[in-house]
Amino acid sequence: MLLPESDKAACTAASLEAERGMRDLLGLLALSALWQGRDGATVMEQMLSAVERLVPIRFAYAQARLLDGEQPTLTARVAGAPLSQEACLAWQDSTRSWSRTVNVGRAADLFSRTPIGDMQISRMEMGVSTLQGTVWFGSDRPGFPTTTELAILRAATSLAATAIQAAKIAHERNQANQAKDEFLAMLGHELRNPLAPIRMGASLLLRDGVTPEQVKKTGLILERQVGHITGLVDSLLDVSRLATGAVVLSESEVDMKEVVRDAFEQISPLIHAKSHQMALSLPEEDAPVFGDRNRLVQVVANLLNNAARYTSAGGYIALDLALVGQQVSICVSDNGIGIEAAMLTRVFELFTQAKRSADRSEGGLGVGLALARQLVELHGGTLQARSQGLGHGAQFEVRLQRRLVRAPVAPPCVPLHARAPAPACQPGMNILVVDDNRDGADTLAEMLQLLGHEVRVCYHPRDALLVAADVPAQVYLLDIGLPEMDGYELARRLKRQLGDRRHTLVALTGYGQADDLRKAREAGFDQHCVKPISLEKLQAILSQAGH
Amino acid sequence: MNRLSLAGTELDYFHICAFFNSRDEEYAVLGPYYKEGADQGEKNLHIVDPAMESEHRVRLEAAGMDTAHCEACGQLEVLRWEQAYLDENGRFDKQRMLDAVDQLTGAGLAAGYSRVRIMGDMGWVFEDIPGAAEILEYEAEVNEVLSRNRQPAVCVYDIAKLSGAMMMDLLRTHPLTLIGGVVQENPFYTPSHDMLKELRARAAA
Repeated sequence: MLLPESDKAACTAASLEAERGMRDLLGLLALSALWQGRDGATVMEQMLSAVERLVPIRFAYAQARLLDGEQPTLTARVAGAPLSQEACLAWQDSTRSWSRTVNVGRAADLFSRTPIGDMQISRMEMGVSTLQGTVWFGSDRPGFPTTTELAILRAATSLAATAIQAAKIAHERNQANQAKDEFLAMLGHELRNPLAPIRMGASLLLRDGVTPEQVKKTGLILERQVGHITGLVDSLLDVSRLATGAVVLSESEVDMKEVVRDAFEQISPLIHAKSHQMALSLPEEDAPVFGDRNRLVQVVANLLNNAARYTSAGGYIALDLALVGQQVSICVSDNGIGIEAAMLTRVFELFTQAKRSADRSEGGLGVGLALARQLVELHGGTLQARSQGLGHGAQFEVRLQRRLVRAPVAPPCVPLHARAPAPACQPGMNILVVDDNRDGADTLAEMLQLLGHEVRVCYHPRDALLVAADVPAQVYLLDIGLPEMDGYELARRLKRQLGDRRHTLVALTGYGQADDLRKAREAGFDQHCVKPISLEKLQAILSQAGH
Repeated sequence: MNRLSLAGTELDYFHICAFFNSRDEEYAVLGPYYKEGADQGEKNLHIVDPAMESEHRVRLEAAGMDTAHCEACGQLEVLRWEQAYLDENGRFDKQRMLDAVDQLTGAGLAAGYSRVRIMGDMGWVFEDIPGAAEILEYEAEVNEVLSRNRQPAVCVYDIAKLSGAMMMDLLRTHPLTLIGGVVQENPFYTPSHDMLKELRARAAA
């Protein structure tokens, strides 16, 4: 059948429009390659401007959330020019009356009111819901948009939504990297602080003519500074354990009044050093919760420490413990530097706390609040921050459920096999120290000799097996990261070699995760100690071994 | 005819729109293209930002070109914007530039070169240059000159400076694009007469 000439012309025009539409769509696809590395605002601006070249629109108005946690950004272009933010706000009210505008199945032209007159409006969602954003395109031409125009508008919006998502991910990645770099710089700084007196103390001890008083004084300094470094490392390990879910709570009934007193005692040197006034408010009755006492003390101590650090000398810190319904509330308030609104939501994120204090004059790793919140949540509670802004102090409130008695859980077995408490350490034990770190092995051996024990040192596991075969020891202090065979393997071989002979195997290691404890237990160790080991702990282990 | 390749793609001639995010990316992609021309005894004609003139030579050296030798024998000609795109009054004159390209790629080839590889840094378009608004008409019309003389030209644009509308227009005036180090035929390319018609309609609106 032959088509009439008029139909032929119509077909040709339709075919040309379809071809042109296809060409324009292909052009749009090139845009996404040009958006790589651009931020969300640039993508949005460029998309709206590009659409103007392909579809005869009078305006384009977008309201999109370019970054998580931020208010939607307004972007608009009218008659080929960008609108200022002020002008965008003037348009915002109009969008409410457009919200039900649909593109498909419209029986007749439907014009909506806009600040530049009545327009046909096409609405596009960015992504799969309105959560990411919405874009409206308007034209005063009846019949807008045609199917081809609709396809182009849809494609442009979808491309922009994807590019904005990519920009958001890139932004988050950059922020995380920046936070990590800042954290590493901070960590370096924090580790250097105690290292300086340690180095100076070591030099002093090496000098001729050093008096016993100087030795004692320097020893105390070294011990204090090592304690500081150990605290830093413990915090870092806690961060890691919490991140991997490896923290196991040793739960029992705990009175939060005692927790608060213990935490206050821990932090009181810092509070006194900064001449803060401290007000402690405790209820008459007990405030029982079910939890891990040490971890709860850590939470409250972190909050007090935070308040003391971010409050200028001579400030005021209050701790109120109260029973609120079925909950226990622990509220730490200060009149310190405060927290700006934008930071309130981020103050519990790891590594971001440093931004609170520009000069970081108070030091610290900035992980305390993150640890506190994670520990509280592990107890099924909440930790919230409040502040009226910079210069207006801050308030941190922990809420925990009041005591709900559950069957007590056994504490994690750091002593790997339970034994009765031992009396004081007896001298004269035969001990073998195995560590490829010669300084570590030698200083430990010297300390043990000072305590009156007979000590032999091996720097290699092979030598240890030979020495133990020759004259077996009562106690074996083994490093884990040894050459050729690790401490676990050495322990297994020693156990086979020693047979029924009485002995105690102690793992001395830098690895303190739950999995490391399990491996030590399986290898036959009796004790697992994370370096550096304190003198008290060492003596306690030797006492147990001697009985 | 000698080999003519850009970013691993072989072509007879082209008018290509090259988008880059950085100078490093630009020279990593175009350096081998320039060197290929020099090695084959062809001419490189580069129109550069005057502020980049010496750095351009340093980067050509880094790409393996002996710039002193090439410039001495005429195989490399580095022109500043005001020596090519802009006239003595600092104005862009579309017709003057089209004539210059025609001369360079047509009759000018009689100087003994089998091919002249033109590269134009288009950064001046984003400066306050009188006549710069004619750039799209120029980009549309120069296609005919390059096709007739079968010579290659690369227009280099900094992505960071482009608006979405400008991107669309540039894509429509170049039959080939170079984005992210990849040369592609541009299905969005609009034949010169159609593009000129649209540009004039747009100007009249």
